[in-house]
Amino acid sequence: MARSKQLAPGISARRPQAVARRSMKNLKNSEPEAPATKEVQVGGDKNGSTRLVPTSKAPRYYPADDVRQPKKSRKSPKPTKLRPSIVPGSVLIVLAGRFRGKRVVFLKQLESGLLLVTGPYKINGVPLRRVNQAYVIATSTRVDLEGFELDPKINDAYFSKAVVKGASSAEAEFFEEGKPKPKEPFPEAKSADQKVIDKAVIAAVQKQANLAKYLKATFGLTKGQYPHQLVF
Amino acid sequence: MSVSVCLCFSTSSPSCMCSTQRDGSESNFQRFVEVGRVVLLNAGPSAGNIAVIAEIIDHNRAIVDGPTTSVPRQSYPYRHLSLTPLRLTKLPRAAGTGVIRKQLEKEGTVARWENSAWAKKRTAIQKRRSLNDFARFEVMLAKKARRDVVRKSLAKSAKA
Repeated sequence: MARSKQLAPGISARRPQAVARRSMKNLKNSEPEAPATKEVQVGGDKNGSTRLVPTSKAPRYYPADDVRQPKKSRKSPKPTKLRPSIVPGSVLIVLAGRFRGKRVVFLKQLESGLLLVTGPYKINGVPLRRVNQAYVIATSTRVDLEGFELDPKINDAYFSKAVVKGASSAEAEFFEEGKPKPKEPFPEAKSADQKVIDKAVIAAVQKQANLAKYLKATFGLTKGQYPHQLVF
Repeated sequence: MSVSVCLCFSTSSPSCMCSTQRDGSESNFQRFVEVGRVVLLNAGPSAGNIAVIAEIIDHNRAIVDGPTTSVPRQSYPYRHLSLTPLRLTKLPRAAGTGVIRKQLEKEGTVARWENSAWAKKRTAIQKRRSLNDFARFEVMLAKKARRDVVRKSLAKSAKA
């Protein structure tokens, strides 16, 4: 597609009819706003009481040379596309992070684009967790999660870190460094949520032979195995 | 015409592999590019299927046809095929597709091919390469179970 050459900022080498059509369209939308001048009260006896003053003043400074403006981008961020091989109930292999090598069950894609997965916790120690699609291999193995409804309260906000109150003054902070911070016990509500979800997932996992053992085992490559030649 | 003698030491040796040609001379080769030779296609859209050589074009190509294995009659370079030990003996040169089909069915060639060790190995390798991650895991469990049984029975017979 040929783009017209820019002769000067704002002037393009396009066919006159095309330019006229464009500017006719733009003309229609330019004017419903504020009036050009406004009335202002002026003091003094013989000054006349009001003056018409322009609403917005002309700038006091103009640059000597016209500077080239960068083009405005027409790109807009879109929600992350979910790979078609990833479906609720798919077994995924996590490739990075604390749980690398673990095989987990995919539950749903959250608004941020991250994938919500669970071990289940009883099987392989992976809790309800968010994982990035790019760091995951989708296997063709599926767990049948038909009729499984995820509580809508499990969303991105559910996983945000609680705000930790730091020391109030620099002196207190200096004394605080080095002392072990008291560890918060894992919140009861979160483990209750985990148990509810895992109950349904584990019931579905038990239906397939050896699937629980499979989720418990870790993934690894052995000699002669190359990921681009393996079928997942 | 010189008659070459087969140099196998024992006269009644069944292991003599020298094939006797039509003119009496002997050769160490067993599989020949000839009309009726069953070949395995290695490349192209029909790769992996067997077909029969219907006619020889020149030193590079032959006309190959596999009516029962969905190989259309076409010219094929020898580079892209492998000769098998099977052949259709009663095939005339330049036989048409129908004749080849009848002979294949009469001699049951495709079934003989499928039962051969070569063909069985090919299917096993194909199956192994197509296993998904869960299937590979189950194979590992099966191998472990078999190993366990073997080890236990070995220990028992060693003790006895």
